[in-house]
Amino acid sequence: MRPRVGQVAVSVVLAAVVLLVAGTAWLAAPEPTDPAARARAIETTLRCPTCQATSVADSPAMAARQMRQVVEQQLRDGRTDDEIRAYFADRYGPWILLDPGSGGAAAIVWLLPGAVLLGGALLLVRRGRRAPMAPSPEARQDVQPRRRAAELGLLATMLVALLAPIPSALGSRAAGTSSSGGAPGASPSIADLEAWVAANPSDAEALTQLGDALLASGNLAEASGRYQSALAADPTAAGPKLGLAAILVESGRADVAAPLIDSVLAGKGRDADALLMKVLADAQLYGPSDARTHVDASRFLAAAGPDDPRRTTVEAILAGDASGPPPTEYPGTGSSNP
Amino acid sequence: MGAIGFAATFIGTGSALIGLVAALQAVRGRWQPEAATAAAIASAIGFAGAAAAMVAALLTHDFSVSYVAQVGSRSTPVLYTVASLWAALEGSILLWTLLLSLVTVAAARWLAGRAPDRRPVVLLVLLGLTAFFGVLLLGPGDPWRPVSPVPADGPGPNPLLAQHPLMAVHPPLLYLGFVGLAVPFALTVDGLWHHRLDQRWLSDATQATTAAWVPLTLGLVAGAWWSYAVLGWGGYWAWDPVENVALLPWLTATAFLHSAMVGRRTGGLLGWNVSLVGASFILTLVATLVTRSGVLQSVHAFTQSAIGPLLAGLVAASLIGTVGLAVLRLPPERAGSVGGPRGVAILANNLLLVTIAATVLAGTMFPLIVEAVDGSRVSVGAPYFERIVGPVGAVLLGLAAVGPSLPWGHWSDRVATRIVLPALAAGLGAAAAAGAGLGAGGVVGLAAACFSLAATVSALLRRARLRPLSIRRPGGLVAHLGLAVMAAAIVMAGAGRSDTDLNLRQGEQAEVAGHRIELLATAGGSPAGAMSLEASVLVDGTPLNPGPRLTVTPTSGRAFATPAVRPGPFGDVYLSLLDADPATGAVTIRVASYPFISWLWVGGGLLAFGGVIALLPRRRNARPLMEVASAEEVVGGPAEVPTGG
Repeated sequence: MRPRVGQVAVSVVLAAVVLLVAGTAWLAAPEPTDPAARARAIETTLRCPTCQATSVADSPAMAARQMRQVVEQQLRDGRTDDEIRAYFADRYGPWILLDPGSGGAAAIVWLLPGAVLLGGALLLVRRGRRAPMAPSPEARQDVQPRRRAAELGLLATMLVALLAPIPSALGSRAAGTSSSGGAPGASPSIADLEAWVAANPSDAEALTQLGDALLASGNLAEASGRYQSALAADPTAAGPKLGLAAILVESGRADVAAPLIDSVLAGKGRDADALLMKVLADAQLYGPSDARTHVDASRFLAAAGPDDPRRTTVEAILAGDASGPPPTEYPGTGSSNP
Repeated sequence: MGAIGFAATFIGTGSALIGLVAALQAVRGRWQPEAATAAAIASAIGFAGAAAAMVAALLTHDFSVSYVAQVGSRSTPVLYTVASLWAALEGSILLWTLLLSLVTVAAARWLAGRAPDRRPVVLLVLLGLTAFFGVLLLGPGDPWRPVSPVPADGPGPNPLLAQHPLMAVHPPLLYLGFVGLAVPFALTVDGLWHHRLDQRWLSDATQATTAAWVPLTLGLVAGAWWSYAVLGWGGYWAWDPVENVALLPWLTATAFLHSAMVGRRTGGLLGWNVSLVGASFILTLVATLVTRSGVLQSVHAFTQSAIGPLLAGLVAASLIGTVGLAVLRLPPERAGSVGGPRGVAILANNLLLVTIAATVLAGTMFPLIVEAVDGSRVSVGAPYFERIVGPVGAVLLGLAAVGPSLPWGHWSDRVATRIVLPALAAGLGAAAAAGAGLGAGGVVGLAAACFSLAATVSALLRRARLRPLSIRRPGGLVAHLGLAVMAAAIVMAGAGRSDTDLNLRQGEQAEVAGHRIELLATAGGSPAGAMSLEASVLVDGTPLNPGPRLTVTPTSGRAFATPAVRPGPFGDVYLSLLDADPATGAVTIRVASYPFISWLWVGGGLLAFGGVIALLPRRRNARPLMEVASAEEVVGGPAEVPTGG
């Protein structure tokens, strides 16, 4: 069928409008030379660490205002936009970037809408081209008995899906949450661990657990020895490093603890246990009201769960209450609390 | 009060379970469906009693009830005490269950006069859902657990939820929309089960979806407005996961309201329509799962309450059941005409709406999946969503403008002349946006909004002139008008916004964005243990009451900047108190201006009003659309039906 005059006219008018609008938009696109506009462009891609989902540009929160000052400072220092984003990602983890980036798994998020759009359009075109076919009402009658069994199976599957969570739901109410659990059970006694470690002297995880248990019971000297054995067995393990750091901070040697904590943070940037140790070390090294302490404290608050009991410790430090509640939750023991 | 409430909940749940058996017997043809209806009414009375008991317990500060001890407080005003019913998990489930049981009764009565033979399966599905949530309320979500010793006072609701009266309407409207979408789903299950996905089904499912779509739309707009008026950052939509999951069912339900028109014209798109109805319902369950299971705080918080896994089971069962039933019982698709240029435009609309839904779903779920897989936390936020939804939305807006003017049958050259005026308007909009320095997004957005506005207004005028409104009501056009108004407001408020942080001492004034701001005084207070500071401000010589407020709650260490807004038809002045120096009395106030933002709420109201118009009963002498469609089926193809729009 030849296109009608009207169709041609509509197409021409629409194309002209789209071209005009696109041209105007291209001309109207502002050059990002104005520092305030550049700062805002960066700030809209950074997450305010203490808010729900707002960006640093929009949030009235204190943490966001401090981050805006950092962005402005770094722009004055001549850093590029990407360098500034990388600086924050480095300090807070990739979570701080509202834009997921396009590398790795994040590519899926970018490709999916295009795939849906393209796939759907292809389906539509194919549908449009297919010749009309007559409906076959008799087809639906004779298949019914044969599908009886399939329908019963479907019902059974639905029931299983509906009922399957009940045991786990009951379990989670009865037992509370349990930690992932090392070899000798979820929360073993010191004696059990000693026995296990005696049989498996190079099990770094069990050694760390033993260290944690000893630390919690106040036996710092023995805990330190167990952590060092654990480190000897697995020099990259984070648990014994944090345990040692806790002992060092406890004994007033935050200066020695700091590099240990930093090496853990370099591996996993937003680990709440490590960040807590960092805050405690900062408070000892620089004092509770220092900006460095506050930055690390807000990183911890962002990383910790909302019900994390250790929040109160850090919030007390932030509030300038240097005496504060004592940090009774040590790194290894904190995660086993519900 | 706790015992009464628990008893009422028990009666509601028990009646729903009895009704479930009665509905099953009715499906098998052994009992009359009236038995199941009676049980549904008893269930609704039970849950209404439970909700009333909870409100009474909240109002009388009965802290022996665990939910009251959790969200109640003697210092909370009455309005927010009542609204505390939906301020936390257990109360929200109670409200949800109450609305579900009321909707069940309404659906049974509606179908009694319309399609009585469809009641058994519909009641089976709806009572099954009610019973599920009732069991949640009796078990893991029990709000009536006794507290001992009884506390003298409670912490009150989340302070953010007790700031603005919109909190009293936003959650109930949203929930009503959510549970309402279960009705078209139940009708679809009946259609699949009894092999009657006919025009009657399509017409009923469309009506039921529209009835749910209106409160859902209003609930979303009210939520955006609340967020603008309370959160203090001037935004109304943060692409927060909680907002995103509420938008998802709206997108698919809107797509269905459009694709159903093609179905009614041509009898085609059966599988697609079933999918959209099923997806809309399951997405409402996903929304409940995501917002109510703690999964957003951390994937690992998911199993801490039994509610999350149970809801996940419900989602899985619904998904398996719907897909399985569709595979087994969906009749073979009638491939035929898609309904001419109008049908093609509607299919394109569906494609774009589903693309937006897929984008929002992927962006919301991606961080959760990453955290579950390797424990690391990533963000997918506004920059991602805006970059994809913006352009797709602009094209959608253009389609909404031309779609209603396209013919169902064959092309006519008359249509071509209808595009001239909107095209001129788009050019003007682009020029205006460029002149105002709104940037590239602003130019494209305003051009699309003006195009849509002009096309819709002229279509409405044509409709009013050409034919009596009783035959084809302009519900769709009014909704499109609302959409265009919203789009214009979003573009102008977003691209034209400006803000300045002012440092003012008492008695000082400053001129910002054409407005004179003067700080009169500051007054502090400590309501409910929080430290609060309010600034008295003159904007252009008249006082702003109440003024912007900064509240710091020592327990959480969080600060809330409650803004003060001077609304106007051409733009709002929006003040947030950021900081105060108690020593000097100086304050930092952010003064922001959002041009034309009030029109966002007006447009949202128009959008929902379009749905209301579509629901109004037809005049008796008007020929229902369904008959037109069945007449077309007899002659074997879509007749040329002149459309005024």
